[in-house]
This record gives sequence, C-alpha cells and structure tokens, in this order.
Amino acid sequence: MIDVEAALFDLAEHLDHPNGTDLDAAVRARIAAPLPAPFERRQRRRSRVVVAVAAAFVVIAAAIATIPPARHAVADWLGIGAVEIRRSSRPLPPANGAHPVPGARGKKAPAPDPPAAQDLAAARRAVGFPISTPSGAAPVLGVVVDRRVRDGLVEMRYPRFTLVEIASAPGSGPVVGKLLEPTAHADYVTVDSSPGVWIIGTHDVAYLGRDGTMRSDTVRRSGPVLVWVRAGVTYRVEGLPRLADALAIALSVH
Amino acid sequence: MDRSTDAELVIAARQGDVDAFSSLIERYRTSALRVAYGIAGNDAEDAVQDAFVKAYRNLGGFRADAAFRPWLFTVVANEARNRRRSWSRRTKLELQVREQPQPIGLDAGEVVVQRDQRRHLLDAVAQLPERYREVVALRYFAGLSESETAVALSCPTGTAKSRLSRGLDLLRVALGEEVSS
Repeated sequence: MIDVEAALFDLAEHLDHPNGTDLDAAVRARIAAPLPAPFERRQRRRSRVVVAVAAAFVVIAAAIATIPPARHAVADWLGIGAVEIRRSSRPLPPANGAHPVPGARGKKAPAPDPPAAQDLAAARRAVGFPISTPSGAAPVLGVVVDRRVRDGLVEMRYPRFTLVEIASAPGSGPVVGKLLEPTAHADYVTVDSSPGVWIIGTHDVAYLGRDGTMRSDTVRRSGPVLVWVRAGVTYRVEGLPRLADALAIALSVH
Repeated sequence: MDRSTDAELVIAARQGDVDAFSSLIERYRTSALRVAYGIAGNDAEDAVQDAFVKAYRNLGGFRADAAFRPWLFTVVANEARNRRRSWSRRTKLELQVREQPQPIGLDAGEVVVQRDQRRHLLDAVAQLPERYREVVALRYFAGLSESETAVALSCPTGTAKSRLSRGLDLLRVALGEEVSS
C-alpha cells in the first residue's frame, strides 16, 4: 500500500512551480506605490454639508468605478470576487439614512421607488439568479427585492439574522463596495471553499445600480458582517456577533 | 537569514519596516508558491504576489496574538482560488514535476520510476475537486499542521481533517487505477 502522505511531502519538494525570483522586488514596488483615489483629497473638495450627505457614496463609487480590472489587484485593499473593500484613513462622515437599500434599518423618509416586500416565491421570479436559503433556520419573517440594484438584490429577514443576496456575475467587476472606518477589522475567511470576508466595525455599503453607478446605502452597518461569494452570487449575513455562528448559517445556505 | 520571529517581523512591518516584510516574504515564498501552484497552476506567481501585497496592506487588521503563517496562507489560497475560478471551467489544471539531475546512488531506472510515480500522484492531485486539492496543498505542499490548515481554510479542525482524509482516499483510488491500468 502506498504511503500517500509521505509521497505528497516528497512531491512538494519536486514541484515545477514558478520560483518567484523577483517576488520581493515586485511586492516592494507595489506596496511602496500610493493607493489611487486617496480619500482625503476627494473629501477636501467638498463642503462639510455635502460631505456629510454624499461622501460615502462618492468615495466608494470613485474608488470602485475607476479601477480597471487590470489594476484591480494593485488598487484594492482587500477584496473577494465582486466585493471591493477599502479602509478610510479618517472616520466616516455621518450617514443620514435617506436612501437605505435592503439590509438596512433606515428610519428616515423612504427612497424613491422603494424596494417591494414580497414572499419568497415572488422574489424568486423577480431576480435573475437562484435565491438560496439557510436550511434549518426559523421561517423567514420578510423578503424584500430591490430592483434598483443591477441584476437584483434580495433581503431575507430571519429572527436572529438577515441574509442578503446580490447577483454578481464573475468578470463583471465589483458590484458591492464597502468603506471601512479606520478602526474596523476585516479578515479573510473561507465558506466551504468560497472566499469570504468577516468585517467587524463601522462600514458603509454601496451597490452597483442599473444605471451603472454605485448606489450608496447611507444607513451605516456597525455590527459584524460575513460576506462571501459563490457561483456568481454575493451573500451577506448580518446580525450574528460571532464568526462561528455566521459561518454555521453561511454553510447552511443552499 | 533573519532569525526574528514572525510576530516580531509583523510588528516591525506594521510600523513601516519594509525590510521586515521582505523577511516574511523570503521565509514563506517557496511554500506560498507551492500552495498557489497546487490550486491555480501557472498563475501561482501572480497569485502569490497579489497575496503578499494584500497581506501587507491588511497587517493593520491582523490580530497580534494570532499566528501569521495560517493567516498568510488564507490570503494565498484565496488569491489562487480566485484566479483559478476566473478560468474557463473546461480549462484543465496542468501541474508538472521538475526535471532533476540524477541523484548520487540511484541508477537511471530508479530515477525514472520515481519521476513517473510523482507525475502520477501530481496528475491525481490536479484532478481532485477544489475543496480537496486546497486542503492537500496547504497540508502537504506548504507543510501546515492540521490545525493551521483549518485556520487557513477558516473551518473547524474536524472539517479540515475529514476533508484531508477524503482527499487522501481519492488519491489512493486514483493511484490504484494508475497501477492497474
């Protein structure tokens, strides 16, 4: 019988992989280069009032929309698939909550063309991707589809958490942007082999709208959020304070 | 060779010491390339370069009391996985065994047998479903412990162990088919 483990360790020593000769120089050159679209300069151009209302949208939209795919790896701070994540070097401006998208809990006036509440079957007919649901969870309390978001966004509210799903076809570029407070933490995680990020701390969210521009959700998230991308859909679970609990839900989503 | 611990180098790199980060690159370059190669084939070098850049930019979010190695390999595996997934689904992953000079003490026949065995094993690894190929690459190509592999995959240790076990079973079956054919 073959000792496969010993053979694999031996194989590792004989792989014909790239040798990364210039790896150190290439990495040093890239980390020495400033990130594009510096937040401070863009924000200084606007008055405090305008900044308070629009900066989160502008910063995220500019940072994401101007990054061509070829420079994606250089420009992003942390990202997975269709999710672009950047950290602000200063505290985020106040959010007014005027235009929440699903997943938010806005108390201000509703946005024009507000998202429509419906049942799961209707939501499945309304969006252009297969909606997955967590197995073993309590019955869904509410389902909301937002057609303002390109290719569709659906929010499903459960007793302990909220699950948001967004169509994000591979190769189409970022469809979700997150701008983090300087103190926020974000770590790579894996959800059943799919790439994900666990974010703790205050952050703004933006989505790619039907008109091709990023639509900011001006209600701020402060609780932990687990985001992962699988088969052309971006998933977000929020409301669960522990990564283990969020991962358990994420693993049950099929 | 820098004898500082990973934690010491991470702290220095966080304070802007790029040389300290270079020491981490040197320390983990080979194993990172092996893992990325096992997952993404010839895109390994680009994936590893992206991974080190992202790791550097994300050092501020890295918990000082956590182990750097599995954290780094989480980033490496993610980058390699993303590159692999951007390929056509029909694109076959091709991995190669390095041609080496004949070691002293082995005759030419033994060298050929060893090389063919490695090729068969590598072909079998390349054919593994992604979830098993990842865990095999992290555990055996990078030499992570089972618990480090679990951290790198952000899954419980039991899950990593069961995937490893299943992956090894699949490899044994594949090698058995090779022998019998």
